[in-house]
Amino acid sequence: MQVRIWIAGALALAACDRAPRAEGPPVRFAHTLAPAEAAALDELIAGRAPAVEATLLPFSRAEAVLGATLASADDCPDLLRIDATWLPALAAAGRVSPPPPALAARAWLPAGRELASWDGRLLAVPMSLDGLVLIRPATAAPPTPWPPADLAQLEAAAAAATTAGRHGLGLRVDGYWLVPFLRGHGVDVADGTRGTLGIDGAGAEAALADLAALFARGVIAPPPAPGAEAEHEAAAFARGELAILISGPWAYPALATAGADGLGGLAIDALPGAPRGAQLLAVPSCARAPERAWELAGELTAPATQAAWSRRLGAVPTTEDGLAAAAPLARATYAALAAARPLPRHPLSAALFDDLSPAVAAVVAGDATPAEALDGVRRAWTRALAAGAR
Amino acid sequence: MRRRSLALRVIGVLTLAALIPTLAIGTLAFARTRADLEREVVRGHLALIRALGAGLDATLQDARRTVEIAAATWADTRVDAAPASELDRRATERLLARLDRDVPVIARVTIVDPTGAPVAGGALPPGVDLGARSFGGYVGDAAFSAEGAHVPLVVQARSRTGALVGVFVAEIDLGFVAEALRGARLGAGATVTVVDGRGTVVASTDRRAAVGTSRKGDVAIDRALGAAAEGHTSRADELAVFRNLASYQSLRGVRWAIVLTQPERDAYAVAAATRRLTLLVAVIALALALAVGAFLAARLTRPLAALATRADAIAHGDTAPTPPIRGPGEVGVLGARIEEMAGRIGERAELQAALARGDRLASVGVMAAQVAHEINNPLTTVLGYAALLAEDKPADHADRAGLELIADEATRMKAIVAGLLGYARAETDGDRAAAVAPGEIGRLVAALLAPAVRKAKASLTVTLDDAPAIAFDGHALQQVLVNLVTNALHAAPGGAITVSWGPLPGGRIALDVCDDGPGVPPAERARVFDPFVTTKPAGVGTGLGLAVVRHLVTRAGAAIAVDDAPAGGARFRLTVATAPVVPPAEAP
Repeated sequence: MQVRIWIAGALALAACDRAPRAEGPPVRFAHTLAPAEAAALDELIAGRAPAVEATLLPFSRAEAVLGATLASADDCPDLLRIDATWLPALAAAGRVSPPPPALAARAWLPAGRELASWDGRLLAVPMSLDGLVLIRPATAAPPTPWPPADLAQLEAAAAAATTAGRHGLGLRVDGYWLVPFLRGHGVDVADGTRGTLGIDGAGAEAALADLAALFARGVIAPPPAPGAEAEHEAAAFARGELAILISGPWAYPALATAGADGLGGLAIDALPGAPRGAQLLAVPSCARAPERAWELAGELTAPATQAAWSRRLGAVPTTEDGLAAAAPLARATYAALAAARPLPRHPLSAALFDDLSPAVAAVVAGDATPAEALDGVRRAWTRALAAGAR
Repeated sequence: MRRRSLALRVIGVLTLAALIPTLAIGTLAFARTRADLEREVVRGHLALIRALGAGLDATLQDARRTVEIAAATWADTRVDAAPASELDRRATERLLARLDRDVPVIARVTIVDPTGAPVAGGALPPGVDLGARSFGGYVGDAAFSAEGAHVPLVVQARSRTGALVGVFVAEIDLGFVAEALRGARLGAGATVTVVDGRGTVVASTDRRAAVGTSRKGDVAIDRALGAAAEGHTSRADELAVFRNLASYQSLRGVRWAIVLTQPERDAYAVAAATRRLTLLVAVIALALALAVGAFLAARLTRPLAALATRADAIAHGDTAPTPPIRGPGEVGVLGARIEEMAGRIGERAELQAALARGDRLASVGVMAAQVAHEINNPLTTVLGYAALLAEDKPADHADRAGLELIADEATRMKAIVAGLLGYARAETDGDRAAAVAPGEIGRLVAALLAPAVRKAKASLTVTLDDAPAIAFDGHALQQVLVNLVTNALHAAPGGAITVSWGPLPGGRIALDVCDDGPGVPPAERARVFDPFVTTKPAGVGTGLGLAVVRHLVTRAGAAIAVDDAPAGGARFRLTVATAPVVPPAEAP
């Protein structure tokens, strides 16, 4: 009798093992995840059916790579993880498909829904929110005045926090990091939707001069060699050489790894005039299996997954349920980004920094005056606006 | 047969001892050779394609840096791409000519303004992205034409202020890649192929891989274009080692790859040769092991066989000394020990024979004592009546001589009986723990034997007065000395007899009884102490005196021996341990 039971059990197990599983080609997922995020993704998709074939694209070249790939429709991926600034160009060119209604109806946070939309249509689903915030060690006493209400207070606090062997502020020599300074001086980057250059006022030169002066005074830490910015700023932050770091959630894993207290050792505050962004999941029009791709997108943006990633990576959820269950660091970041404003929602916005970043670098290096540098940027943006208008 | 099987077993063991490590090493060599050599082959191939790839990277990097420097120099002070003057236009033309001349891999350089309008060097090649969102420049996808393979190198020309003034588009002639591959020293059957980010062959040493054809779908190519920086695959009897080219990256973000393939037969030719050599060496080693094993077995078992033969002889009673059997190590030791053992067996046999003889002598003694006891009374009667009858007869009576003869013979028979009784007492008396001063006993013996000495016209000199006390019973010592001196009187009538002593090592002394008679022949010395053995004429002595001496001496734990006296004659030496002086009251 017992033998029969065992045999029946074994047959049942075998039958369970042979239960039909979702077959078919793997979902091709092209993403720009950071190493820690990619590791989390690998764990999430391990053993998944259908399988996921993930391809990591370097963030700096991903927009160009995806643009060329989707244009040729050759080796088209099924799912994309893109920066929110890339969506307008892809949407304008008809390269992405809208999510299915069930997914679109998910309780997305307004900030995420806004950045995943173009021309009033939801064309992607937000995976995480980001933007520039102020990061400082949770155990250190905040400088005064704190939190800064505007750029002037931030500069004053950074200057006060600057001591021998410690810089008050850390940021990257990049056009994106200039945005708060531009906004602090009443200007902004070019807005393709309105056809304005944004930097044609005196405030832009003042903002650039302001930034260059902070570098010259040592309030801002000297820029590291290109390509090693993330590791350098994480190490400097861990050593206590930076009182305040201007960065975003993408930097949290490296900062947590370099520091002794992990994610819990980071205190987040709002950066006046900060840009806000998001990372989106989009399905290209040329995708071979869009349904499966949206299914994967739904899993990656499920509230439970977002909460887990918030605890592990500090990623800011884009769903109400995900935010409710998120780690304190993620909620603090979300709160800090509440007052932040997105970059102009236009296909040209992402390309603006191709010209703004070299200008910032030239001024910080002392190769150009703010006026000279901004002249070149204006010319470039004028060309871009004209080309966009055509 | 057993000995032969031993030799065979030794050969077997030695062969096995050689076979096991040979097989183990051989198996290990076989198992490891493939893995080790595969690793080495892959490592060697990787080193080769790293070197090749580094050369290709360096070439492109040099070209890229040169163009970047030229672009930066050209744009440094400019605000606009358009030539400011004829002089400026000619300067730009010279710059392009210099690039074309100094950088051989550059086929053509075109300068366009940020909108793509040509500035110098001709029109913009078709399909070239000017580098928007490419952060400064890139290497494009390869293009193939009848003139060969080319790749665009796009470099943004920004002024010192960071402003984009123009774009340099250099057309790189990929002929240098093919030249580099042709110059590579490849192994037998190996080919090297460079593919661009789309899997299109840029250059190859494989004639079947035409330039411009797609190798997409080839496992090695697909893997090479994947995320891994380098690696290898082994499939369909072909080994493929690949590596990305760091400086080459298509618009799609995929780096070019260099792939080296080689049939496994050629790649592991060394492994096959090594395996064959290993097998040959193993067979030779085994054969040598067998030969050496047979030789060693014969050498080892030969002395063993001799030992067995010798053991058989010993078992059959041949304990006569023979030269020890020689052999290596323990075998030699065993041979020597067997000879020692044979010697001891012989000694034991002799001892057992002596013991048997001793038992027989003891039995004789007991029997003699009983006979003597029974005979002694009748003899006393015979002697008494013979004496009475002889006294009654006048001196000239015819019977008197006969009666005196009867009395004499009876007297001699009583002496014999007394000797037998003395021997029997010596056999049966227990040990008496005693110590005695030899000097006192010597004086007593001299007094006792004085009449016999005078009768024999001999002289007796006893010099034992200063001798130390010895561990000997007094009565026994007296008997011993009486018997020895009497023996000397019989052996050397009219001679000089001395009784003396001398110290010996180990707390012993020697009591010597010497005469100047004919001595004891060496051949007789071993049995002179046996009962009824005598060298004297018939009617002289009973043949029991020295036997009694040996029994008394042996029982006292001393020793008796006979040799030649210093002055000729015989010397009986009693070797005895000294002892504390015995008080006079306890002396016999």
